[in-house]
Amino acid sequence: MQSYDLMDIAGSALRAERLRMDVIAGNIANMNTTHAADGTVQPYLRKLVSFKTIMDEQNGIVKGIAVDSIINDVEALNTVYDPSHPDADNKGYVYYPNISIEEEMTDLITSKSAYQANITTIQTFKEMFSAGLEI
Amino acid sequence: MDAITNLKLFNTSVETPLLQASTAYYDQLKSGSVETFQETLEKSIATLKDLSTKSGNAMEDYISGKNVDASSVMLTMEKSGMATNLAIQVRNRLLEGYRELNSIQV
Repeated sequence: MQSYDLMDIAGSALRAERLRMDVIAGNIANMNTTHAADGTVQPYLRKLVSFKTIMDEQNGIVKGIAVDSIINDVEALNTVYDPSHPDADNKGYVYYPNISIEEEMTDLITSKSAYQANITTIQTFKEMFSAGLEI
Repeated sequence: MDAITNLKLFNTSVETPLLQASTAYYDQLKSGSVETFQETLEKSIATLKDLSTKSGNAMEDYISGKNVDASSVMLTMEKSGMATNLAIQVRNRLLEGYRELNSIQV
C-alpha cells in the first residue's frame, strides 16, 4: 500500500543491516579459525556484504534494499611463524584469517549508525502521520 | 453600495459555483464514474482488516519461534496501529458530520 511504503523501505534496510551485523559477528568470531567447516586446514576468509537497490521500475522509485551477495575478502592471509602449532605447514608457518579487529569494529559501528538512522526515519514518519491525524 | 447588496453579491459569487460543483458531482456519482463514499469506506476497512490480520500473524510467528526478525514484527504491528488510528479519526469525522446534520433546525 502506497502510504506505508516508507516503512517498508526502512524495514528492508533494517533487515539488511542486521544481516551485515551477523556477517561482522561471524568475522570477529572467526578471527583465529584455521580450519574450514569440513575439518581441512583452510583459514577462514573474511566475509563482506554488498547491498543492492530494489527499484519500482514503473515509477522509478526506490522500494528498498536487499543483500546482493556475501563475498570473500581476497586480501592476503596473516602469516605467523609458529612451528609448534598443529596447523603449521612444513616450513613452520601458520596462516590466520585476514581479519583486523579495528576494521570489524569500524564496520560494526557504521552498521549500527545506519540501523539507528533507519529507525529515526520510521519514527519521523510515525510522528508525521500522527500529526496528520490531528488536522 | 450598501451592506445588503454586498451580501447578496457575495452569496451569488459563492453559492453559484458551489451549487454547480455539487450538481456535477451528483451526476458523476449517479453515472458511477466516481467512487461513492461508501465504497471508499469499505475499501479502507478491508485494508485495515488485512493489516491487522498480518499483524496478528506476524506476532504469532514471532512467539512460536519462527524465523522472523523483531523489527519486521514491530513494523507490521505499527502499521496496523496507524491504520486503526486513521480509521478511528475517519469515524469521528463521520459522526461529527452526522450530528451536525441532525442538529439542523428545519
